[in-house]
Amino acid sequence: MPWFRRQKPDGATSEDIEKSRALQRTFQQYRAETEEQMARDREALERGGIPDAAEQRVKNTVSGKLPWMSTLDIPDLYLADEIRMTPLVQVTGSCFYQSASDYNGRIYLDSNYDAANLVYAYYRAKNDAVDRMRQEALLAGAHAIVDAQFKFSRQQHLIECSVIGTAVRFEGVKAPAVPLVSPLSGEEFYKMLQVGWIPVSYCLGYHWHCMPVGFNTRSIQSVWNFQNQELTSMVDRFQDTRRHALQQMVSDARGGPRVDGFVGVAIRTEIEETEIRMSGGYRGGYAGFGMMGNGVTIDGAFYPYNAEGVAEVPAYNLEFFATGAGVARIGPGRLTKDALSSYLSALH
Amino acid sequence: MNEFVLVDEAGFEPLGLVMGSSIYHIGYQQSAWSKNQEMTVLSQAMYNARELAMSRMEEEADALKADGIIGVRLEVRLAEWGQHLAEFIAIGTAVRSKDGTSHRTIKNKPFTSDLSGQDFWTLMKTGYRPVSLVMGTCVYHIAHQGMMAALRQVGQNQEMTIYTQGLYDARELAMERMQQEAAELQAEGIVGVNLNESSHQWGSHVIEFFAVGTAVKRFQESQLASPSLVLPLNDSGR
Repeated sequence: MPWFRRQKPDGATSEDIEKSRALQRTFQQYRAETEEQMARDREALERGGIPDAAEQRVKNTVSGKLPWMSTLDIPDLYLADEIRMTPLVQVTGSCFYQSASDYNGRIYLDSNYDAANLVYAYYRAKNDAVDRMRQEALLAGAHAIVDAQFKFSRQQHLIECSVIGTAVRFEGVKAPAVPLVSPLSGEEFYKMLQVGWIPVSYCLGYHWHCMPVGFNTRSIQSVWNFQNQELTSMVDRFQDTRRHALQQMVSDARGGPRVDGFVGVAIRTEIEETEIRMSGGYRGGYAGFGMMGNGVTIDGAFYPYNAEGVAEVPAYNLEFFATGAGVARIGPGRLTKDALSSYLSALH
Repeated sequence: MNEFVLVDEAGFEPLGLVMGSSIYHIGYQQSAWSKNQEMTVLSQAMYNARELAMSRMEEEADALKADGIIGVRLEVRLAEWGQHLAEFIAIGTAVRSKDGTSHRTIKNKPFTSDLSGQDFWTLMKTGYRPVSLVMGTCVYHIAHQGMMAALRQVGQNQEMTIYTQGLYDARELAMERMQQEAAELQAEGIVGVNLNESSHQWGSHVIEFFAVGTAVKRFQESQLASPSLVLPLNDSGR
């Protein structure tokens, strides 16, 4: 049958289409922010503040113009109610921080082959994001931020840290100068209070070390090595990386209210193959054949400088990333309102 | 099974599975390479399609004379069989109050909620009732860095405020829109807020922030007894 004689299939009629369009007209119509507003937001961030929209949202929510919102789920809310902890508003913080790199986007290493700039960038991203979240919580007059969910990501040398949590207030207790931050859920927060502990901060332990390798290490991995053998040099470096990261975590905890220990520590480690470019003046090895500038000898292998005066040395990136909740012991048993009040007052 | 019993305990009876869907063509909008901007055409498309799916699910619940829909799941699948097409599906369980009390919204629509049966029971016992599943979305183009800007940053540790500001704006717009929806329904709060960030198939510099939660309102005093601390000795993964 020719196509023009075929019956029209049952499909959407023009009335159906108009009905769908009419329905869509009843939905919220979105409006974008103006460029002037975006510029003001950037200036606010550069000054160390928070964008207008975040400030307004917090103020409108706390004043009751907008409904409160919370990341807490229903059982968490019930437990919050039980300990007279009122959720005020959802608070957020973000920071994208770029660590120093060369023209080709490669990161710099220090004389110990540690990526000090990258480590610094992680801490700045985390600290700035937490600081911005705290600014929102302070606007709300909060005592603490619970259920703070952190997200870290890295694209080459650009680090992102974003956090979202719920600002809360304890009934009848004076607000501290700086709200506490708890990455624990509402239920975990409740449990800690029941046994006399309180989560006070979110702590990060991060270290990134680059380990150049030569014949000694690589020969162990050779297909011609039929022995069971541990890569002891790598284990040593990895232990060092871990030690540095955990020391940093302790230092991070010391930057805020008193911390007696960590709970809920999550650890992520990564080892990946890479390459270090060592230029002639680099102190990373020693010059070969007694002539400055010929090359470097590392781990039993000689790597000559090329025409640009650079030696390309195979290496492993060793990364150790630990996060956890810093907790403080306040009393011997279930935390009372007086004990909590005196602890928060002492933070002024 | 547990959910069914608890929904019954909360004073509701399940009526049936309800569903709504929308297959939507997402329009086109040119983004400026080096500027942060909201992709309003895409934001509106993502919002309208989800709302259409929800409206159709509510129509099915209306046909069952339901008071509300619980356990709503809202899914988006980008179609492989057509460019710029996406399928939005809303699925839930229609319920009706056993004592005949109406729990419909001020717009005379069934209440909607993404809470499970257990959470629904707990919420009702704490004296709150769900009003509606509320949402806000924002599709945002984050600026690319120009060559000169990249060269100026060589060798420096510094914050990329243009990225931070873009992320803030996108997130704030999504949250504000969700709060606005809840305010229009005269809700007191929004619980279990989820903020999802996704790039779908628009590339790494275009992100969608989707905020979703259940708007709630207090209707009675809490009827839950004080909990006692019970710590399971088996490790259930925190």
